[in-house]
This record gives sequence, structure tokens and C-alpha cells, in this order.
Amino acid sequence: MKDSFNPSIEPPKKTVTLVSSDGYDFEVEEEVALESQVIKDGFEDKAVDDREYLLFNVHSDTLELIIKYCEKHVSSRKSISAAAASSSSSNGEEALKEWDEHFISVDTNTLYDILMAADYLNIKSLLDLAIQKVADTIHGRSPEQIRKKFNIENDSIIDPWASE
Amino acid sequence: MSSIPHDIIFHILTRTPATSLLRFKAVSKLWYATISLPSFIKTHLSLAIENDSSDIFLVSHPCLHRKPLYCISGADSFNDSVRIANPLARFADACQILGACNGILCLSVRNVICLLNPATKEYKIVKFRKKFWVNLRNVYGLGYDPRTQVYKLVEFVKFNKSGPRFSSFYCKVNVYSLDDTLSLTDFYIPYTFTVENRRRLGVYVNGGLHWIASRSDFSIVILCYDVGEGVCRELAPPIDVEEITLVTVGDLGGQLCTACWSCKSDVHVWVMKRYGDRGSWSKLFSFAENLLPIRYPPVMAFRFSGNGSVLLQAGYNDDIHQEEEYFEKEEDFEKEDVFETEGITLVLYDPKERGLTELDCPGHSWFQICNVVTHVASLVQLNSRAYAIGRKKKRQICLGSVNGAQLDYTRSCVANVDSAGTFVKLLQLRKRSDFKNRLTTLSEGYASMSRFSSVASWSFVLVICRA
Repeated sequence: MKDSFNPSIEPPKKTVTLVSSDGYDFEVEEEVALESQVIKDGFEDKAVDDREYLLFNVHSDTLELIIKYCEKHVSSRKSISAAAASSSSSNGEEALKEWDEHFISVDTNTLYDILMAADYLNIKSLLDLAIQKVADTIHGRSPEQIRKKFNIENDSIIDPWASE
Repeated sequence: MSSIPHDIIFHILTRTPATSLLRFKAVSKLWYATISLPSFIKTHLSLAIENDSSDIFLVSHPCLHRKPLYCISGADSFNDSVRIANPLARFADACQILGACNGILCLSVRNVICLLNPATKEYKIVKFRKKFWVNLRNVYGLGYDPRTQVYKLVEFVKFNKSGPRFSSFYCKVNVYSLDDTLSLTDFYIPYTFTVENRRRLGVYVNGGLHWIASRSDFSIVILCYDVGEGVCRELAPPIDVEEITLVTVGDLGGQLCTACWSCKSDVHVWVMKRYGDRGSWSKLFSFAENLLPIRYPPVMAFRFSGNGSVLLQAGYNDDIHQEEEYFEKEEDFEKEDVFETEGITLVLYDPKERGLTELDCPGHSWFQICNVVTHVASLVQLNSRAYAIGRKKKRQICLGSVNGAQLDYTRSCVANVDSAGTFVKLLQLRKRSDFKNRLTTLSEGYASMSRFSSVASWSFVLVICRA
């Protein structure tokens, strides 16, 4: 993130193409794609003209959500630092938190897809968000429900009520 | 959710509350091993402190011989209070809380000190050979030394008479290490504690215990005892001491905070963003003093609640004024029954609304409570293999509001009627297998149902039934 962002002088937008597992192309701004640590690392290694990334583990539906998340975070970070530079008060961080909360309120399968994609692409903030959401959903469940949810074989030797 | 790699499971579990984790030990052998890992427990604790998911313990007035420990769960809106099994209940005397840190409470009866993890119910009893007696005129705090992995109890003893060596502005510091050695270190510091600061337990933040103390010129300092190094030092307050008359310290999400105000000004709550850096004090919020429900309010901020509001404690029981300097023996002021003050109040400050709401904890009369202690539910082990179990015949009662109905606590049972005409029924279920059957029949027969605390005993379940 640039320290002094000036909205009047915009640098020419560079784009990167992300290809989902089912073969759809997504053209995104470089800045947005660099939210992913994996792409960032690959970016530094690769030749400059190679701007296509095949994401074998990410379905197009999930990729669309992830790009939406990264775009939102890049743009709101810009507005927060711009507000900080002009020393005007802003509630950008709170608004972003609310947006995140809304973003992650999805059904279990989508949450699982986002979690795995965030882990694969190594987007730390999204991974933390998804992990927190899963932790919230499993809070207060019984061991039996957990086994069902995570598909775990019951090899436990503990009486489930013993620790109550 | 079927094939999540175990390293992600690890991270998910570190963010799960301790009460759920105790149950999740029964999921599988792998989960049991993960949850028992010392590195897991450590990560879980630090995340719990960061997220400020703490509970509040009520400290009863020491003059009352009330033994049960009550914990107000911080998980939702501070409405549930849960009774915790007290390992010191077999002693006849009143039990006191001398401090809390890292999810461990320090309880004391006479010369017996007990470390208790209320989440796992594990406890460890430490008996002093020489005379150790909790004195209300002394100041206490519990700290943890991460290098030696020993809990330390810090006690400040005020000099009553000035002598040739020390004036009355000196305190003797006794540091008891609560391991098998029970070693005692003592030294003297040129600070003293005023009456209203004496009842405050040390606030454990960043490896140090913090109190408000006074210098010999009556100026106020934030006194820090570094548990690892074993030294006392001063921390710079956010604004000049001349400008402020009353300060308290607290812990907000693992950061040291202070509430300060002078006569007829607003109360300001500051947070030290980077520990030890005076420049990093930043003002969190201010509010007018007359918003507080108690007239003379030393305020302590100590907890963020889920929606960003801050829990404050206002007021204190100042009966200690009356015993001050007059009684030499502890027994004397135990007989004094002076409850003239309004006691303490817990208030929630909402930074968006800029308003205060008074917390109403059903079943507890505030004049009986002299202090509150925050506590983070953790799985920290004491390696004693002793677990506190409540007596089976004793009733364990869940309190709180269920589906909008306010529950009140009476000595024998729980019952109250809310405006909608619902009533609360106390059900006793002998067997756990009964539970599901009874619950289904009840929820079919009646419109609404129930919640129960996982901490409390399973033998009683509160069920709300439509009248």
C-alpha cells in the first residue's frame, strides 16, 4: 500500500488474469490480485509478461467472491489512509468490519469453499475471517454434531459428558 | 466441511471458547491431543485475551460469610450468572479473591491460598506454614512469571506507624511464589495506597501487575510490579498528575487502560496502545460524570463487549474508612456490619450512542459485592489433577433472561413472571438420557423452550413455558 495516496493522479492500471478450476477467466487489477500471498510470491519470481494464473483448486463461484472481497479491502484501505492523510475522522474501519461480517454470512458449503480458497491463495485476513466464522458456528455444539460436520470417525475413549 | 486440513482445525479451535473446547475433547483422539497441547493452550489464551472474551467474577464483601463464587458470563449480554464450585467451601470462613491472571483465580481462606481455573475446575491448594492472613488494609494482586512458570501473589503492607527508618509513606512488598518452594521475597517501596485504591486488585497486563499508588507528596502514580524481573517501577500516566485527581487502571483487551477525571470534569478513558510507551496513550472516550448512577464514582474500565461497548465499574464499598487505623486485629472489623454505601455498579458505555446503561445482575445485591474481577476462560493447567466438583445435593441455578423473560433469584428456587405472562419452571432431570426426551415433549407441548449454561450442572434445566 502506498503511503501517500493521491486520488487525482491515478497510475495506469495493470491487470492480471486469474483462471478458475472450471476454466473461467477473471481479469483483475494487479493490486487486487496481490492481496494473495501466493500470487504475490509467484509475481516476484515470474517473468513480467506472464500475467495469467491458473488456480486449480478454486471454483469460479468462489473466485468471484474472493475477488469481491479483495477489491473491497483494497479500495477501503485506500480511503482509510486518504482520510488519515487529510486528518479527517472516518469510520472506515468499522464500516469494513460490518461489510466483512455481512460478506462471511454465507451457507456452510460456501464458507467451506471460501476457507479452503483463502488457505490455498494465502489471504490472511480472509482466512482469519473464515476461521472465526467457523469457530462461531461450532461453539456450543455437541461432539456428535462436530463429528458429523467435520466427518470425523468416532475413536474417542472419553465419555462425552465427563468434561461437562 | 468434510475435509478441512488439521492445521486449519487447529486455528479454528484456538478461536473457540474454552467451555466448548472441554466438550470437543470427546470428538476424537486427535482433537483430544490437539486441545491438550501446551502450545495450543498458550495460543488459545493469548487470543482469548486479545478478543477480550472475559467473564466477570463477583467478589463478595469479606464481612459476609458468603462462600459461593458467582461468575457473570461475558459471552452475551452479561445476563447469565453461574455459580462456580468453590474448592475452599469446606472452610468456615469467608473466601476472598486476591487476584486473577491468565484464566486463573487466586482464592484465599486464612492461611490457605487456592489457585483455581474456573473453566476446567482444576485447582491447586497452597498452604503457608508461617502465618499468612488476608488483611483488608493490604493490597493484593496475582501475577504469572512466564520464565519460571510460577504464579506469584503480591501483597503490599502499609506501615501504620512512622519509625526512624521508614515513614508512613512506605510500603512493604511481600511476593509469595505459589509453587512448592513457597519462597517469600520482601522489599520496601516509597509509595502508599489511598483508601479507595486499596480494594483494587492488581491488573495483570503484559507481564506486570498494575495499581494506583501515591507518592509522599500525595501525587498519583501508576505503579507496576514486573513479575518476571521482580522490581517495581512507575508508568507515566496519560496526562500530568496535577490535572487529575482520581485515576483507576484496568485492562481492555490486553491493553492497559486508565479512567481519570478531576473534580466536576468529564471522565476520560485512555488506552496505552504500546505498552510502556507514554506517547501511545490515546483517549478512547469521555463522558460526563453525572451520567454515572453513583455519586462518588471511582470508575474502572475493564472490558469490551461484543458490540464495542465498554464495561465500567463505578463506586466501591468504602466501609474500610471506618476501620481505618482503629482496629489492630482482623477479627474486629469482621464483626463490623457497615453497609452504608450504595456499593458498586456495573455500567455499559456505548461509544456510538454515547450513553451509559446500568447492568442489572439478577439475584445479586450490589451492596454485598465489594469488587469484581475479570477473568478469561482458558484451559491453562495447574498440573495438580485436583478438580472442584460442586456438592451433588446442592442446587445449581442458572440465572438470566430467557426469551425475554427476566429471571429472579431467590434462595430456594428460580421463578418469575414477565409481562407476557410466561412463567419459568425449574425442572430436575435425574438422568442425562431423560433430558432429550423431556425436552422434546416439552417443546411440543409448550411454545417455547430453553437454554442452559454448559458451565452449570446438567441436573437443573430452566424451561420457559407459556402459561
